[in-house]
Amino acid sequence: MVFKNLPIKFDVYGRAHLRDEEASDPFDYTPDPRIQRALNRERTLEKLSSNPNVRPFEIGPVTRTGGRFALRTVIDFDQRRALDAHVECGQFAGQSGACEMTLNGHEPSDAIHISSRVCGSSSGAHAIASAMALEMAAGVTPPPLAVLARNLGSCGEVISECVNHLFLLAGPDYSEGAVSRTNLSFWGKAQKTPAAGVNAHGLETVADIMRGMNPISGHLYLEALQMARLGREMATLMFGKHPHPATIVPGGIGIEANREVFNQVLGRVNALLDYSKKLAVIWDDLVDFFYDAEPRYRRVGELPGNLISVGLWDDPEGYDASYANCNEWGMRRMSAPGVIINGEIRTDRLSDINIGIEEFVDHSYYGQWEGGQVPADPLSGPVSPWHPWNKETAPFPTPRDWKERYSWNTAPRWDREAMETGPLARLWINAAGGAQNCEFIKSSRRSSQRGLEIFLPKGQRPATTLQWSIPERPNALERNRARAYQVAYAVMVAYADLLKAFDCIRQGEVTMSVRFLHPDRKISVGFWESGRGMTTHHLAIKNRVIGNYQVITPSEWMGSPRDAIGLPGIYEAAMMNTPLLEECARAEDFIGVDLLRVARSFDP
Amino acid sequence: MQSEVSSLEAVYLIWLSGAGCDGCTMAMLGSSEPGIEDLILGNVPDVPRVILVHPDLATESGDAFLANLEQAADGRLSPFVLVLEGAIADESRAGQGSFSRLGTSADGRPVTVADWVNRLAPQAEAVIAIGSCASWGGIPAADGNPTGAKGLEDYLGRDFRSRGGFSSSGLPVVNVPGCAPTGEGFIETLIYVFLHLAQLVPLDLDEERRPRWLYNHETYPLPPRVEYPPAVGFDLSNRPTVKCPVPVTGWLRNFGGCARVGGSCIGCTERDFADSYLALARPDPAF
Ligand code: SF4
Repeated sequence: MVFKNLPIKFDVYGRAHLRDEEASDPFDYTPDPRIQRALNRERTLEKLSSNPNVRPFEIGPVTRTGGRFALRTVIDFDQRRALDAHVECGQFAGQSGACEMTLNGHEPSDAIHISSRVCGSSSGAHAIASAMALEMAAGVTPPPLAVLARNLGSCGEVISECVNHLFLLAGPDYSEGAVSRTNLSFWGKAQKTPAAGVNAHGLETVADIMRGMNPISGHLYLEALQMARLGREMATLMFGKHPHPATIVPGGIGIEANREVFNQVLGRVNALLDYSKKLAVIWDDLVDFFYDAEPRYRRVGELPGNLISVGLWDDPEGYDASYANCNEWGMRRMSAPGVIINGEIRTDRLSDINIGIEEFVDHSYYGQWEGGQVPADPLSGPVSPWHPWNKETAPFPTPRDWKERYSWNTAPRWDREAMETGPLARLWINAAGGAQNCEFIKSSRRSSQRGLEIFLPKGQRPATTLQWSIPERPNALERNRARAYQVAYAVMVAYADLLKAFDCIRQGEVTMSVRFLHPDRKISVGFWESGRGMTTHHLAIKNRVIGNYQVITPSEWMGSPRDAIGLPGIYEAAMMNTPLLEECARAEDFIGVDLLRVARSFDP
Repeated sequence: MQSEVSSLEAVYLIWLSGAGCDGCTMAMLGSSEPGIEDLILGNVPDVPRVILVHPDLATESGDAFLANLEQAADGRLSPFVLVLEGAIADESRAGQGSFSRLGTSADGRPVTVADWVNRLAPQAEAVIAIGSCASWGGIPAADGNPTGAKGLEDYLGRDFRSRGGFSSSGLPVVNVPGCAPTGEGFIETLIYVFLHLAQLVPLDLDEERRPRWLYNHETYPLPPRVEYPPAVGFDLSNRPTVKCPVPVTGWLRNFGGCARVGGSCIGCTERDFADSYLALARPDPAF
């Protein structure tokens, strides 16, 4: 079954229909039994708060997440658990809402430039998603080398984001500085624990890894700054500029296809190839040490596994930009799309992913819109009045009230579930689905464990095959481990794309873009991913200009507030499950490091 | 006023993020010659060691992070240079809410980025606006955005002067526009500001208070695929000029660089670029 909560069923041809064609308000969510459960939960919490050791605990701003989040938890200091959590995004302009409002009435191709400004870190993903939405509307297909060039720029961006995340954003919480302060008993143990991967990274003990991760002084931190720069340089070579690409156009890419730029990309891929071999091992050693030192770290940031990805890195032979064929070209992506809920694969089709999306603003600083003009997608699949094609962006700032409105993020949901997106979701979906589109990456099964094998050829370091296994459940440490393997994955996608690009150049297939014309009226969607996760742009063209433009970012998927039903966003849900394992002598010394580790395990 | 900086080992660099996308931070991190870590480690001759207080990089969060800003505002953390990334929203348009929150006051009201700028700018030795949002308002000030966002100089007033500098009259806001500006251009500006505060070099700013030596090249807003290979027959007359170093320097390490490699130039270093220049950078079917 694809949808359990949305009123959509499928016929034998795989076409989506309303379950009850006669229903007057098919998408009405008010009968959902989870509303009552959410209310009951609130009541139970209120009762608990009469215990003097159950107290609110707030952190604002949460740094190293863009600095725009604040969180409010209710902690049971007896049990050392977070019982409740709310997460605020405190910034309007710069988030997608601001760019959406600016785009109304603009010439469609302006969207590439304005929408990339939604996020300075994943601007390439936004520019590409935007170009794809425009191509779908105009009905044009970019030439093969242009598709490859976009893939390569995107690989560079993903690598740069993941490496920055592992050492600049999340990493400091696992460094000597943090561990010796908040998990003191671990520090002694780390000094005595030999690092299993010493042959790959040259560090004798786990303490050496943690010392290397100290901000600014540690050698792994400094190395990460350099390696992330190589990724950014790859992106710059393809995008002309990064952040905020200058070369992405509907129908292709503006750069000149000369061998020199692709050789420059290859030089950087080679360096990153060697780096990615040790990066995964460093994080394996670190994660395994934490589990060993305190098995309950498996529970920190744990969630049941609602994972979503639209996939990325197109097959130049498959991608035709159309909605009609999006399920075929989607499946040929080098990282395939899919949805997994509670461990169960629901779909691998982009059209299902699209029609399953709704965006709620009940707890956001936005006003509700009425109805909508788009009842169905171009394949006649029904879409909800809360689907982004039907959404209107109307800011409605009010005082922060944790029970009412408290965030500038909206609450995107798929089949009315909060969804996790990002490297862990991508790896998991590819491992579960059979990963077959990059010659260097295979899905594997060791005993009963599914996973991925990433083959990394010889560089300065010998060839190696990295083995990643699907973890029992998603948690904070596994998200970071997956991010480290994602770097190797992206490096090999880039390498495979480079081989194809050199082929194109040798055969003289060097056209980089095709002409296009904006249609009079059309709805379309662009599907891409940043290092941080799923990025969709939903476009409606009216009278040849933009009538509606909606962006959903990974940060909104995960850093979202409660939705209409009362279900928490992903950050919120992950914090609510978290045991607080911080070691502190006095209650006043408590800084909530495990909550911060959870927040920073996602990629805001 | 005799600057205190020349006699000091270290200077605080306080970074605030207003309405923007954090892309300037990303550009800054991308610069490697030198990199921000070289400044923090004190590796650059004649330049004081930088102690960075940055919301995307800080080890502390919440009150422990905001304590740095409190101390700077109270004169207990000095000398410091203030950098703003992103525009400043007009919070009066947010009614009872806020557009850019950075902390909470004792009575539970939002403390905004604008509040911090009010308290920090007068105490700063120098104030630098990184990127077009902080310089002129940028994308957050484009048509359709309801926040009434402004650049730093508009917000503080053109007569604003920070404390440091050669002359007793202090320094105006130093603008490093671009969406984003190059990381290398920003780091270079930062180094120049430090050298200037140490009274080692003059700080030559143009009429728009940009480092004159960085923004002396003139280019034009251009559609993609026009400049490389140079298009024959593309009419450049009647195009406004854009001041930007990128066509000369490339984007980083002398590669990339917008129209130089076949991309567009949307005039992102200029005031109101989204409303005024973007239309001149649309793909032109003839090229
Ligand atoms: S060349 Fe144009 S688009 Fe590129 S950075 Fe300069 S002003 Fe911006």
